[in-house]
Amino acid sequence: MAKILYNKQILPAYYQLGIRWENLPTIEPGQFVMLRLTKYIDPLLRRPFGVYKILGQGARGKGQGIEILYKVLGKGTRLMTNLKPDDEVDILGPLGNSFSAHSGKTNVIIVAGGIGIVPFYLLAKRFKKVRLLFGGRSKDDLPGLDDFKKLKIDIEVSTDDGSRGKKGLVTEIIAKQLSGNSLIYACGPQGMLKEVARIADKTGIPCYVSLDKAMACGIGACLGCAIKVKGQGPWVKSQENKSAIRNPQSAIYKMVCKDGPIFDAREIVWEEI
Amino acid sequence: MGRDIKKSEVIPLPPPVEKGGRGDLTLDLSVNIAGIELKNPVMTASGTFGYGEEYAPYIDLNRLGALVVKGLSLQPKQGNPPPRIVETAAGMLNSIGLQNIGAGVFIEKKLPFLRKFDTKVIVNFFGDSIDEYCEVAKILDSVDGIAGLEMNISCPNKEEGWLEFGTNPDLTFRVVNAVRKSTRLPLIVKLSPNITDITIIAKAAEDAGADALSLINTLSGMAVDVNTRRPKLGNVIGGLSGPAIKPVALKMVWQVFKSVKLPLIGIGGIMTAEDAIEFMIVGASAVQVGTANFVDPQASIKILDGIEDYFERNEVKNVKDMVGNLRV
Ligand SMILES: Cc1cc2nc3c(=O)[nH]c(=O)nc-3n(C[C@H](O)[C@H](O)[C@H](O)COP(=O)(O)OP(=O)(O)OC[C@H]3O[C@@H](n4cnc5c(N)ncnc54)[C@H](O)[C@@H]3O)c2cc1C
Ligand SMILES: Cc1cc2nc3c(=O)[nH]c(=O)nc-3n(C[C@H](O)[C@H](O)[C@H](O)COP(=O)(O)O)c2cc1C
Ligand code: FES
Repeated sequence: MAKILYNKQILPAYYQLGIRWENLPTIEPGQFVMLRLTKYIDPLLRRPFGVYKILGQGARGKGQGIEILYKVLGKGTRLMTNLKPDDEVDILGPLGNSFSAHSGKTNVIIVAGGIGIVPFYLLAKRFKKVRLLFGGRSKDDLPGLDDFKKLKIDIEVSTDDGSRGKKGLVTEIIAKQLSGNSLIYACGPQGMLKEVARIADKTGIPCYVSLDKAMACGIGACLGCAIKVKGQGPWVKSQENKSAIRNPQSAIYKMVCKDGPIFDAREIVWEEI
Repeated sequence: MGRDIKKSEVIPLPPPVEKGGRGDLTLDLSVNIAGIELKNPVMTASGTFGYGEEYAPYIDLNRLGALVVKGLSLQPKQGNPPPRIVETAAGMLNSIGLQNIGAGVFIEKKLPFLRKFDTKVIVNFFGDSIDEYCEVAKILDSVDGIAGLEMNISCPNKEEGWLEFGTNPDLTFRVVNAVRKSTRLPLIVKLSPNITDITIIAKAAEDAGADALSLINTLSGMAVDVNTRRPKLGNVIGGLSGPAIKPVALKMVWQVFKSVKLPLIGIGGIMTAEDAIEFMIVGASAVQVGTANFVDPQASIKILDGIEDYFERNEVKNVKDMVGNLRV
């Protein structure tokens, strides 16, 4: 059991939840935890949340806790808004894989939509130079923007309604950022990810996406969080657009909790997501 | 107004009286099911515990009475399109579609790890024809480290209009009887609740040579997204599990207990030791913990600890004394 340190509302639908974690294990950017929100049976299942920040981490310190950044969506996250300091939650984790880097790909571009910003605070700290393209429906859907400003990285913001940054979709501002040595990391709504993956594929730029699927166990046991990936055969050049593909005939299911949540965008069968 | 208590009447509590303690009561939780000697009656349910190794970092597998692995077929199976799970009131629906690595790969890749533990391994399996059932049973029969088989009969039969084996007594008899002749391993038949009278199927399985019955599998159900008017599961329908199904499961165990002689394994919504004991009282000699593993990987161990406590508190000396002792 872990103690709540704070639970701050930062935007109408977004909260930052600080959790004290004794003997904090090593947590890599992109990993997540499963939180049990009640000791009763409703809501029944744990809910997955990315680790947004490591708390109290000195220069070499191990850290004393984590911060979760969450969006209020349904029953479980609504219940979370009632958590107070000293309340206890049950954490399972850290779970899942982390991001890969590429040597020589120094133009690192992070594309985040709304709550999809979560895995990138820890990731951005791993690069000397990184650019964040952050999109949201409105200015109220850019959680954590201030935290990223403090990291002194390049940031470009867009909103659907133009209430902050450029008006339009975040995917519309990707193209002009790309160069031969680009590397894209993306997390956000499925439509956004699909479009980012399409752009990356067309331009031959490596792209890693963090995916979201409903989960029950979080550890690869229930086979509930399946996602279709292309077969494991060798990469071949596709006929029509010269991008690399794998034999679509041999598609298989992978588990977002165990094989992911981060996948090479080329691997995903986007039509069936 | 009550009488005043005189000062002299109030004295400190006396020290605790030395009693014999619990030393005189040796707790025996062992139970024999279908010829499988279990050190306790708590198992994990098929499909909710992977192939065991997934949970090894989180719980001491040695403490389990048995673990039942994900259902195996002859060939690996891909499973259903996502979304495959959705939470419902006090339960969840799943349409995993029996995705599994196949019996051969299980034996080669997963079983060696499980052999290291002092826990009985029960292999759940299925097929889409009587032949496939028999073939899987034969493959598993000759293998070291498998204590018994659990046959999932909630599967459609491709040879007879995709009718589920477990929904028809004649089909149940034929498939169980054929498997019985294909293996010397203890054979547990896992019953489907999606029928009108479960006792008819239970009797068919008993007549066909089953050594024990486990029940229940998931209840068929569905859920709809009102905004998109689409089903919440990729497969449209799925199986309901979790606390929501416990009353149904208890009733079915009780009915079957009264109509067959075979030992029963109770399954359905068991979250706590009390839930498990309820199943014993209505006739289960052992229990399987399913969905609860997702909620708390330690659930099965906590349930076992709780059963021990209950037995001690109520001076129950062994599992047999609890089974079917419902006061009606
Ligand atoms: C690896 C991973 C990391 C995540 N990290 C974060 C995070 O850092 N911060 C955060 O706020 N959220 C995160 N999520 C999403 C979060 O888990 C869900 O928002 C949460 O489970 C919703 O729970 P609920 O009880 O509030 O909603 P429910 O009552 O369960 O659902 C409400 C509505 O949301 C839909 N829904 C349910 N689960 C999901 C889901 N996983 N994704 C999309 N829609 C869903 C339902 O269909 C329903 O329409 C993550 C998900 C995954 C898989
Ligand atoms: C995700 C999931 C997968 C399952 N897979 C199988 C399976 O492969 N074979 C089987 O016989 N039962 C399977 N079951 C059914 C369970 O073993 C159990 O009978 C059912 O879930 C009821 O118990 P519970 O309420 O404790 O979960 C599965 C259940 C769930 C939730
Ligand atoms: S949530 Fe159970 S396998 Fe991923």
